[in-house]
Amino acid sequence: MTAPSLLAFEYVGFTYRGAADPALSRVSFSLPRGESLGIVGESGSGKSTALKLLLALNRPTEGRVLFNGAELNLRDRRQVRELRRTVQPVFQDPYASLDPRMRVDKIVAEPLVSLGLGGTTDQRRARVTAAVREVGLDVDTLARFPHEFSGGQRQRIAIARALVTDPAVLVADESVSALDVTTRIDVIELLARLRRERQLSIVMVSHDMSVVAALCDTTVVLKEGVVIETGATMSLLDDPQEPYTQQLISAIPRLPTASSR
Amino acid sequence: MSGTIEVKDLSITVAGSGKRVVNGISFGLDPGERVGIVGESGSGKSVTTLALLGLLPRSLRASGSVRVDGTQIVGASQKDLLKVRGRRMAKIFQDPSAALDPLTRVGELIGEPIRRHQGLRGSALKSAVERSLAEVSLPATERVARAFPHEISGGQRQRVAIAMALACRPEILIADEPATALDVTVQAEVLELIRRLCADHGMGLVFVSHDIAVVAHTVTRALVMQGGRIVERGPIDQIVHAPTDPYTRRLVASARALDEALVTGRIS
Amino acid sequence: MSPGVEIQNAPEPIALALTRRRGLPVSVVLGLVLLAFVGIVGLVSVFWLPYDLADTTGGRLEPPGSDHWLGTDKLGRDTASFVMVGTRIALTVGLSSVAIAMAIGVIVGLLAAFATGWVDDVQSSLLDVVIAFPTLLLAMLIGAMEGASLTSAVVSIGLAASAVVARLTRILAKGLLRRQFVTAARTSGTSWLRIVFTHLLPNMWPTLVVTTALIFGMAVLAEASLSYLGLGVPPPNSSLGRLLQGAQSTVLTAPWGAVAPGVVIVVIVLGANSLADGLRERFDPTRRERA
Repeated sequence: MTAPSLLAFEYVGFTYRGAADPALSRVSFSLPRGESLGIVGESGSGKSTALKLLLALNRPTEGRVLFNGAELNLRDRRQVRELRRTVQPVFQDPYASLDPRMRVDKIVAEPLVSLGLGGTTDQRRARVTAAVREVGLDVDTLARFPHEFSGGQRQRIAIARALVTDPAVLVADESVSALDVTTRIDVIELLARLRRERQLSIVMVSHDMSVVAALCDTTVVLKEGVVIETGATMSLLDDPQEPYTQQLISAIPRLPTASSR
Repeated sequence: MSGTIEVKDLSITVAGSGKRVVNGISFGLDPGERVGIVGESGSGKSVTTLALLGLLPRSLRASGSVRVDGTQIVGASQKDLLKVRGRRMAKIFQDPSAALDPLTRVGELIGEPIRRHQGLRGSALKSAVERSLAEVSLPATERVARAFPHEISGGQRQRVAIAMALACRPEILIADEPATALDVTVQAEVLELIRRLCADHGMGLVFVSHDIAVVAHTVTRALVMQGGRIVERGPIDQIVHAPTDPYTRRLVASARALDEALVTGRIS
Repeated sequence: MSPGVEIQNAPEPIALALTRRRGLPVSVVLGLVLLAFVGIVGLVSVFWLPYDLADTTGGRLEPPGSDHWLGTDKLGRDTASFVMVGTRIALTVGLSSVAIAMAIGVIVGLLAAFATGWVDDVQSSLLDVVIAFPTLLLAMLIGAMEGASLTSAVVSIGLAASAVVARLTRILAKGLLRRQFVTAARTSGTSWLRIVFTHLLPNMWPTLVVTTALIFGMAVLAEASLSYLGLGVPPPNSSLGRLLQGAQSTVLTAPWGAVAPGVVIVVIVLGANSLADGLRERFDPTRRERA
C-alpha cells in the first residue's frame, strides 16, 4: 500500500456564482509527495480556478480536493492551518503580490506570525534570515521595501515568504512568466535547486511548456475546464496524443537552430 | 523615399531628473524592411517606439533626430505629427483592449479611420470594412462587425487593432510586443498575420519584443538594446547564431536554455 | 516596457515619502501655517481674552482701534474676544465631528467591504441615502429632539460626514481585497481581522488622512451654517456663524463685525483644503518619479 498523495483532485468541478458554464469539470489528478506537477493551459482553461481550489481559497462545487488523503474541509481550522503550512503559493506578478507598505522582513515573516509558527521572535528572525539567504538575497534586503527591488528580486522575496514555513509544496502561479528571459532562467534554476535540496514538490500553473518541462515530472493539460491530456512531461512533449497538446507545443516560439537554416 | 525611418543620435531623458532612458541611438529602416528591437525591461525599447511616432509623454524629452520619410519628428508640431501618424506610420500595442474604445462596435472602430482617410461612405464603406476584417482573418460577418471589443477574444481584439492600424495603408507598422499578452497558440497566428501583411503591402515593420525567439521569426535585421543603448546590431541570423556582445550572448543563451528544457526536461 | 509586467509606481511607505529630499509641497506648508495660526488663537482664548464676553463697557459699534482690535458690536462688546472664542468653538466642533466621522465611517466602511451579495447592495444603498440626507436637516432633527447644543451640532455633523467616510472606506477596502498581496496573506494563514490591520488600513490611510483634512474644513463650514441659522452652539458661548448673523444688520455701517469672523472661517477652510490638496499630491504615486 502506497502512502496517500499529498494533494489530489477527485472529479473536481467548479462553477462561479452566476456563471452558466462550469470553470472546471471532472478534473482529477494527484500529486505524490516529492513529485512535481505542471498544470498547463491558456486563458479560459480553468487553471486559475484549479489554483484557488488547491490553495483552499474556494471550495469545489463538485468532487473533492484531498489533502494527505483526507477530504479538504474549509471549515476544519486545524486541517486548513496544516494545509497553509504545507502548501505555499508564489504568485505571478511580483509587483502585486507584495504589500507595498510592508518591509521585507514583515512580508517574509507573515506566514510564521499568522500561523503561530517559528517559536520566539529571535527564532523567527533567524528563520526569516535563513529563507532570504536561501533564495540568494542579502540580509540587508530585510529592512527595505518592495519597491526598491527589481521584478526578479521581488519574486525571490515571494519565494522566501513561501519557504519560511518549511512547506512540502510550492504552488507557483505563472511565477516566472512576467520576468525577463535572463531573470526567468535564474528563478527557474532557483526553483529547481529548492526542489532538489528540499525534496519540495512544485505545482507549476503555467501557459509556458518550457517552464513546466524544466521543473515538473507530470503534466496536466487543461482546456475549457476539462483535462485534455495527462502524462509524464517528457513523453507528453515527445509524443503528444491530443491535437490541442500538439498545437500548444508547436506554437512555442523557439530560436532558429543552426541546422534549421 | 517612402517608408523610411532614419534615427540619428536619439536620446530620451526624464524631464525632472535628467536621467537618460535612451542614450544616443542611431538606426534606420529601409522601405519594406522588417527590423526588430530586442531588449528587456528598462532597455528603452518601448520609449524609442513612442519617440518614432512623436508620442512621448510630457515627462520625457527627446533630443537628436528622427526622420520619417524625411520629416523631422523630434520637436515637430502636432499638425505635422498628425500627417505622419496613421498615413505613413501606424502602431499596434501590447494590450489591444487599451487601444480599442470599449463603447464602439468593431465595425465602427475599423470603419472610422477608413472613412477619414479614404473618404468612403455607405455601402462602399461597409464592403471596405468587410475586406479589412477578411484581411486580418476575422470572419467578415455582421456578428463580428456589431460586437463590442469586450465581446471578442484577446486574439481577435489584436486583429481588430491591426485592421485599424492598416486602414490608412501606412508605409510602416510599429508593433510593440503585439503578441506578448496573447495565448501561445494565438500568438503564433498573430505573428504570422503581421508577417503576411507586411509582405502583401510592402510595408516596413519595426517590431519590438523582449522575446528574441519571437523577433527571430519576424524580422530580417535586429538591434539589441540594453540600458538605453544599442549593444549589438546586424542580420537576425548573425545575432542568433553568432552574437558578439556579452549581453546578447546571455540573452541568446537564456532563450536556448528554455528551448533545450523542452527536449531535456532540465535547465542547464 | 517589460513583458506582461506593468511597472506600477508602488506607493512607498509614508515615513519614507515624507522625508524624501523633495520636501513638503507648498500647499501643505501653507495649510499647516494657516491652521496653526487659528489653532493658537483658539488656544489662547482658553486662558486669556482682551475683554470678558459679558463686558459691555465699550462704545457701540466702535471701529477697530487700539482698545478694541476688531471694534465692538451694537451692545458695546469686544468683537475680537468673540471671534477668539468662536474660533475655539469652530475648531472644537471640527475636530470632534471629524473624530466621530472617522471612527464610525471607517468601521462601517470596512464591514461593508466584506459584505457580499444582497447585503452589499443594501448597505451601499443605505450609505447613499445617508449621504443624500442634508446635514442641516439632520441637525434640525437632532436639535429638535435634544435641543440645540454643542453636542447636537457635533453629532449631526459627525454622523453626516461618517457616511461619506464609510463609502470611501468601502471602495478602498474592496479594491485592496482584490489585490494579490491580500490573497498572499490569506494563503499565509492570516485572519481577516489581521488582514484589516496589517494590509488594508496601512494602504488606505493616506487617502483617509486627505479626507480627514477635507472633512474638517467642511465640518467648520457646517458649524458656521448651523449657528447662523440658530441651530448651533447656543449663547452665552460665541460662534462664528452667529457672529456673522448678528453683524448682518449693521454690515454697511460697521463691516468689521462681519468681516472678522468671515475671514477666520475662510482661513480655516482654506487651510484644511490646502493641506488636503498638498497631502494628496504628496501621497499620489503617479506624481512621483520611478524609483
